[in-house]
Amino acid sequence: MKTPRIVNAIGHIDDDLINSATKSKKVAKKNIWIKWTSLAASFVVIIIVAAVAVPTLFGDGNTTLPVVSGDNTTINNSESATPTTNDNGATTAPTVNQDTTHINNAEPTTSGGNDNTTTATNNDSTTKPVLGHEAVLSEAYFYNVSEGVFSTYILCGKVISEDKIGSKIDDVSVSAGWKNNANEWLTTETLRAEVYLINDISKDVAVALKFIDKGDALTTTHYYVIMNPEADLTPVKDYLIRPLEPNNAGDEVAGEVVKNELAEEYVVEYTTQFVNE
Amino acid sequence: MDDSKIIELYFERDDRAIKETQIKYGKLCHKIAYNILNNYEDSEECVNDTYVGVWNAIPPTRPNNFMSFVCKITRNLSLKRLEFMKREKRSADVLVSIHELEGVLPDERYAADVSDEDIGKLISDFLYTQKEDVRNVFIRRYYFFDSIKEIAVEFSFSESKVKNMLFYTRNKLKDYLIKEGVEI
Repeated sequence: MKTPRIVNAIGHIDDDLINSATKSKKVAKKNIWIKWTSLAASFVVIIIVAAVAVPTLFGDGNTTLPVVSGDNTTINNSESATPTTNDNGATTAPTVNQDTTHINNAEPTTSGGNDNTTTATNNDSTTKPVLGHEAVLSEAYFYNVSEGVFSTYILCGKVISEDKIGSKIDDVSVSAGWKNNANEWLTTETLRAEVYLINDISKDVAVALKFIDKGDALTTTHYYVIMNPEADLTPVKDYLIRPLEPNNAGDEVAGEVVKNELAEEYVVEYTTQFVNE
Repeated sequence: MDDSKIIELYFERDDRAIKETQIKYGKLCHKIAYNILNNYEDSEECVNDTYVGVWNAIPPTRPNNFMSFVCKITRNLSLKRLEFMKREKRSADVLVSIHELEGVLPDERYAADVSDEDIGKLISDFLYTQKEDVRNVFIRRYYFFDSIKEIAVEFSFSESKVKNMLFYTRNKLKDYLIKEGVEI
């Protein structure tokens, strides 16, 4: 075989080129691991920033009322809302009865997924915001067990899924109906309901109601949590529609539900979560 | 030892010159020879012939770049030896390199009255227009006959990247040589 001329020709290239090629240093290898780790870290930072800045992206699935703004906004939807299940298995109650509820809002509100922005009735005849919530209902649906040991229980829990329900322990009669701002009954109805234990929760703390009769703002298919306001509600704090707020400025709840802190105002506020579908 | 001092030893006909050359460039020379011949004994002989060649060339020659001067001698001796040797003893890798280069400028397409030195200068001019890593990869492949794998390791490139670099450089060199009128 004869060596091609170009092979010999390359033997005549400049000495500097040969020098440069022999002295070429290793290029620092790009570390793929560092590259991808940096990318992942950046992504995590973005997620965290987004979570802080836009909490609605990371909501717990609780149903929130429509955001309203301006004065005397009226929500007028004939369609009823359906309960939704959140991450911890609890389900929020259907939203407000949109045929009859009027929301009087002093200032525009924003709705956050973790904040369960809700509306509430006032016991006073004057309209005022309740516990940091700017929206106030002029009418709300209430119910309570008519008599027996559960008659003192209040309705401040979420609607929970059936897998958290234990055995049936009682049949009760429930008084229900709509109240106005002045705490006057606008309508009343008597409904039959079954009382069920909640798994891992003492009946002295909370139980679930399943209605046999369909109410104006209650279904016969969901389990509604009612709680004993005298009990330590820590075991059922996850079932509260919204964590309790300190009664006084400066108090810290720190995730703990302090006994006897269930003010009437609180009860009223969350009562409005339990309205018809 | 500094290259200029080694050259002075050659001029003084001091046989320490060969010893110093061996110490400084023996390994490099052996690598070039082995890349071409793929045989240890043949490579060793070529390297020894290189020392003799350098001894005979200096003086009167006083190379500006002693390293490339030694490498050129080794390369030329190894290629001559490769021609002389039987085909089955040749390195498959160097054959691939040679075949790739032949595709750039086949012998039959050389323009008349163009010498290898002229082509070498044109190739140098072309390589100076290329990026440093492209240039160095090309020289490592076609001057030193390093394998693709060795080049990839040396430059921390993937083998496919090295192949691609060489492919595009060869094509560009071919276009350049046609443009310069040395390939017909």
